[in-house]
Amino acid sequence: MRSPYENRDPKSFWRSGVSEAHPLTAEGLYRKKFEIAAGDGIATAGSCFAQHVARHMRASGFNVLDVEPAPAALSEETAKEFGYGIYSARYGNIYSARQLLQLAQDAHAGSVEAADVWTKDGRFYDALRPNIESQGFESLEEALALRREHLDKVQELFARMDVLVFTFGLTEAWMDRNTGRVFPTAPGTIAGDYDPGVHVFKNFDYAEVRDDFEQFLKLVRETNPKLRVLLTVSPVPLTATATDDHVLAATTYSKSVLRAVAGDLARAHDNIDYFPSYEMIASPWSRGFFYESNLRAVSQAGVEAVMRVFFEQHRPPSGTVTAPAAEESRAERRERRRKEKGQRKNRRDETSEDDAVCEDVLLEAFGS
Amino acid sequence: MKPFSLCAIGNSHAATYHTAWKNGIAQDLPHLSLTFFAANGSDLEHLAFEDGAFTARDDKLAGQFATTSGGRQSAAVGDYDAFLLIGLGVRVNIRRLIEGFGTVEHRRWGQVETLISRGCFTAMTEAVLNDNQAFWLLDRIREAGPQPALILPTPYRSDVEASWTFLRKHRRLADAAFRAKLIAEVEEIGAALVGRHGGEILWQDESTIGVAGFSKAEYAQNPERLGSAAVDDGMHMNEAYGRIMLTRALERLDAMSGGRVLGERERLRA
Repeated sequence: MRSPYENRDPKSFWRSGVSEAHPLTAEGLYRKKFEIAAGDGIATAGSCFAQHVARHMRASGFNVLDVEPAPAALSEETAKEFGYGIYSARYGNIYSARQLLQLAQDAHAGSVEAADVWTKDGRFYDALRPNIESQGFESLEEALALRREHLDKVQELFARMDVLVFTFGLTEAWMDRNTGRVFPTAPGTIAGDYDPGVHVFKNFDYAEVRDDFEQFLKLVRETNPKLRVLLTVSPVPLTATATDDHVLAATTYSKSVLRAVAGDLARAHDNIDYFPSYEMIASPWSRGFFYESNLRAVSQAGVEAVMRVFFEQHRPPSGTVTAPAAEESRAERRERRRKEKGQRKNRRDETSEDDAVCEDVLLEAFGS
Repeated sequence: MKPFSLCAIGNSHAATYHTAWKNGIAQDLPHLSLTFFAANGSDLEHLAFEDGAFTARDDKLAGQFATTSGGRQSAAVGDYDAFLLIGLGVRVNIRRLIEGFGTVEHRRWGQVETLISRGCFTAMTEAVLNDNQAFWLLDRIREAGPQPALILPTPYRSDVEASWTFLRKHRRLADAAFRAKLIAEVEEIGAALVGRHGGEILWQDESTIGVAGFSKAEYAQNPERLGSAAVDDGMHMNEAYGRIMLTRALERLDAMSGGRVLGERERLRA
């Protein structure tokens, strides 16, 4: 008697592939579809989990592009507070495919609208990336000028990048019901005011997410036909849902849609690959070990396990995998020398929180 | 007048204050003692703060402290009524601040390579101003006591340097009005920053400034410089400069300490 399963690899069977496999080895879980060469310009974007990918790739010698670098005088921590150095441009977190498409369309058209600026306490916030200036801009003119400049840089990035590493984050979003503009945060969370007459909740379905991403590709490939894309899905659950579902069910829906879209895009396009970081963190594979105690944030060990699998396939140009924490900035080097020479107390806190910047965590404040 | 004990800690720029003090101001204010602890900037890296006192951890620094203070190798914060922090790398570095970056407002003076927000410019300015020994000293003084502490920044270079290549290279910086605007912004940000550290900063007196961002050349002639022959380097100032700035510093400390510094202030020869 013969079975179609009898000659399959061990990875094809749950027992040998998962339950008896060590979660740190991930044998056969990922096979790269294309090479990422040392000289390839890599752009990173997506939800907050994408920040980890970007930092590890940069630290390991990949040519991660940064078209909006921070002024050299700023420390790494301060630069991050202003949205610099997190992704390849200063767009903040891009949670949904619609947000990514909207950014590409705005950059393509050079479209800047005063309606996309929110206010709070006399300060002005770019509603499409509200977290990049924690205190807001001092004027509408400044907010619009900085957005215009940003879109120019994004257009440059999208034309230059050889590989886009994008992490799908959410299907849930808030839109302007009149213009269809989608925002990365709910109005009233960082700035702006929630107005049911203006703002409407939207939970994108499979067809919409896929169509948005296909449209994005089509638009970007007008100027960058050879672009390769590496997709991941964020394993970070929703902080809160605006549906009537339980947040667990809402998370499962959201991640299922995104995972299905990512997988189908990779199957449909030769130059799109899918990297299963989601599976490594969120599935029974990891026995839940890679989440922090809030069962939401991904632990450093989880990120490192994911990146180890990634780097097994995409060998770092530096030859060695370097954790970002091992990098020493100029300011840190100066601080170390000060300590060594003068045995003085620290002038500033060296051990900055290495957490990703995630606006949606703010929603928790509204749930208590 | 009750005795008032003042401590000045500084780098090579302290020499001009020291000369101004010993050649006149000291005689005018007999109740005032001013002890200098000065050393080359790189040697001040070997300064430690232990048990409420700044102490030289290196023979070379100890030697310079002994020479400039009249034999002391450490300065206990509790022994002094006020502090002057001289030079120590605090300066308006307009080239570093403006190179490649500018705010929406700065664009009125010409093209800005990379636009940044006013908030980012403030953070950047603070980072540049903060990147020196003065703030470390100020923080340690604040840990140990409430005495007034005044930062006296590094003087601007001589205006004979105003034709520097970088001014030609950076068109906006060649515009004196723009430099003046930028300097005013930086001074405002710096004053707030020093205030948050519990001190004050006394920016360079207008009378010593020629074109915006540069000291009048007359103050850079025959400069005082710590431990080396006087060479017109365009960076170090002379006794006349020291007299003006020390007088301003004492006036400010007088106001901060309820009139304990100057007494018969008309006797000061600014």
